[in-house]
Amino acid sequence: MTTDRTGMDEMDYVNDKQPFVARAEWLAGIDESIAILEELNVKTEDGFLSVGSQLQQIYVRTMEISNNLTQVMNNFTSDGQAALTAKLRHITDTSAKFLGNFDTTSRYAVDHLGSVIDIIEDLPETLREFDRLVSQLRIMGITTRIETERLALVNMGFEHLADEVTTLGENISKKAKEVQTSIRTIGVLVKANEQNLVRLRGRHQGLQLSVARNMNDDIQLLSEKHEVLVKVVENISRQSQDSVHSVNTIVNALQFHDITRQQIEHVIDSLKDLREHLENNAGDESMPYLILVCELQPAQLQRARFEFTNAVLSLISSFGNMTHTITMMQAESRDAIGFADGGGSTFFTVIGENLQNVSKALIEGEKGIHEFLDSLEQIEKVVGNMKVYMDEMSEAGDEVELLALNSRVRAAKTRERGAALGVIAESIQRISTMAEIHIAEVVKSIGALVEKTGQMHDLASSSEISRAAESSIEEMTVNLRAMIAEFASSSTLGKSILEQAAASSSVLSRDLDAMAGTVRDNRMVGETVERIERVLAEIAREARAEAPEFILTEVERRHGEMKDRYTMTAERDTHAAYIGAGSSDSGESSGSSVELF
Amino acid sequence: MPKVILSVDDSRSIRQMVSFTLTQAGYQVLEAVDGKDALSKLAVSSVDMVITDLNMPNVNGIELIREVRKQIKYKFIPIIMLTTESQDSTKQEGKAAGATGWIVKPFNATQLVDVVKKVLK
Repeated sequence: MTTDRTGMDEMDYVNDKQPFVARAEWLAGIDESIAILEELNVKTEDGFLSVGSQLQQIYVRTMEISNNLTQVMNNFTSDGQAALTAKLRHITDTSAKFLGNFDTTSRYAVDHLGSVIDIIEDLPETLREFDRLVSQLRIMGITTRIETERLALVNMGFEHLADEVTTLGENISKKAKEVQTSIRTIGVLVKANEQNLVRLRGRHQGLQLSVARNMNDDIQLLSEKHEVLVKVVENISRQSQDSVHSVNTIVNALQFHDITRQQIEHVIDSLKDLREHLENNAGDESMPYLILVCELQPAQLQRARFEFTNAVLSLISSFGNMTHTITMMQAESRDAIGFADGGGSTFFTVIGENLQNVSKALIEGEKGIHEFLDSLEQIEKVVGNMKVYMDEMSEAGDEVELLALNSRVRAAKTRERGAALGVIAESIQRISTMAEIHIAEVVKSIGALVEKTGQMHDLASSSEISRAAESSIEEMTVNLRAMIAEFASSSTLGKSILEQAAASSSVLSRDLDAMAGTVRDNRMVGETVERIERVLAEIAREARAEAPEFILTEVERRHGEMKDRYTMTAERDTHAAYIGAGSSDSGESSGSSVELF
Repeated sequence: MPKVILSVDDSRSIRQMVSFTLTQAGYQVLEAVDGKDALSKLAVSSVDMVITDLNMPNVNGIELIREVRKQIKYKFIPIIMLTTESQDSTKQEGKAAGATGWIVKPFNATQLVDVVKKVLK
């Protein structure tokens, strides 16, 4: 192809009368290009259609894996986990409440018992006053008898008076002793209860601190695990979105294959038209047409090649991303479940032990309160007896008063002779007054005892421990067992789904690799198309070398007109760029690729 | 009942991608290889929307729209052109024939679903 007709003008060319004849090697080059391009379109279409047909099931399988992993994670988070934490918090709160109630009850009880001790510690002093009064009464009895005999007032009733004074003294003494015995009994009961309550309270306080610290730490740990798992669920969700994005990219890339296939089809049509033109219309008209086609079609092929290559790269990259995403989702969820499961058994064992301790302490507390109530009943009974004694003492005091009056009357009857008896009567009157005062003091103390024991009784019997603890502890234990079972069930289910997901992911990754392989085989398409571009460009270059100036001018003039042969936006853009008219010619729509009328 | 969409394109891979995208979005998709095939399918099926290519053998996209609009049953059905072409003159021709909208290939899956949702609302 060395003939050089450059410089020949139109007339020279016409006068030369040598018709233009396309060289055989040009025709062969065009024929070969058509054949190769046709074969390429068929070959690539099969491969891409195969990828497209698998996309549906790849998408479904990816979403299935993602959904399964999310379901597993949700078992460890959302409702289940939140309920678990809430239940544990309820157990901790209830335990703390019961322990707190016991602490309050026992503290008040110990305080009240202290007050009771104070009361009964003061009583013996008062009762000792009765001893003195009794002694005085005894003396008064003796003195009355002596004075009666000395004053020869026998048979005037004074001997009976002496007997009565003595008897009264003995009665009062007896009652005072009984009251003292009662006080000792109360003292013993109160001390025993106080010691028991102080001991239980000490244990409960230790446990209260331990529950507050350990169980709250456990709940905190559970919350932290929950947070980690929530993050994993979020990551899986994001990775799932990434997979959807990759699928959308694949959808886009597969369309690019179709667009480039159409571009190549149009190039084939153009080359076939040229070939026909060269066959049937050999002559001067054919030369500019040959140059035009062989110059413009490589530009179209180049664009198609770039888009095809980008689509192939995009597909390979998207398949790689999907494989990576699936592997990541699986690894992340497996690690998270391992984290949740690993601490799970230890965690629940510790919680179980804590709850057992709480349960034991509350049962002890409940027993302690029951014992305390029993003791209170005994104390109340003793105090009741004391009241009876004091009533009897009070009656005795009244009798002393009566006796004093009687003495005074009898003494008055004896006139001057019995003046000494008047002194005795006054003394008895003083004893009576003192007895009244001391009885009133004891009665007041007994009243205080009654009040204190009553308050303690009300406090202990209204404590929630005694009534609610037992059923609540039972309920808490049942709840904890249910939680452990639920956790174990979630864990087992999670492991099972994870194993399935691992197997599915592995198969899916392999299939994605195979699809990427199918696409990767198309990388040679670019090289083949580039070779055809070079063949056509070489034909154009050689034809140009032979063409006279006016033919070349004709070629330049018709470059613009060729635009109307293109229908696709991509083709028109390519053509505009080739002839230097920018990327978009007039009449092209700009902006969004979507337009609703 | 999912809405039924007829995808008309002589390219298998485009039909494949339209079908895949819309099926994932919950629609039922029927396929036709050209305008003539589409008219046969429309005659025997109840379709809620048509997405058609422009350049196809036998009956092209514009001719298909004109034929569809002649039928009372499909007079107001949404018809979206999905094509590689974006010349204003061609668009105007489509609009005049009765097209509801125009999408230039390659379509974005999310965008296509959004358009379908919008016109079927």
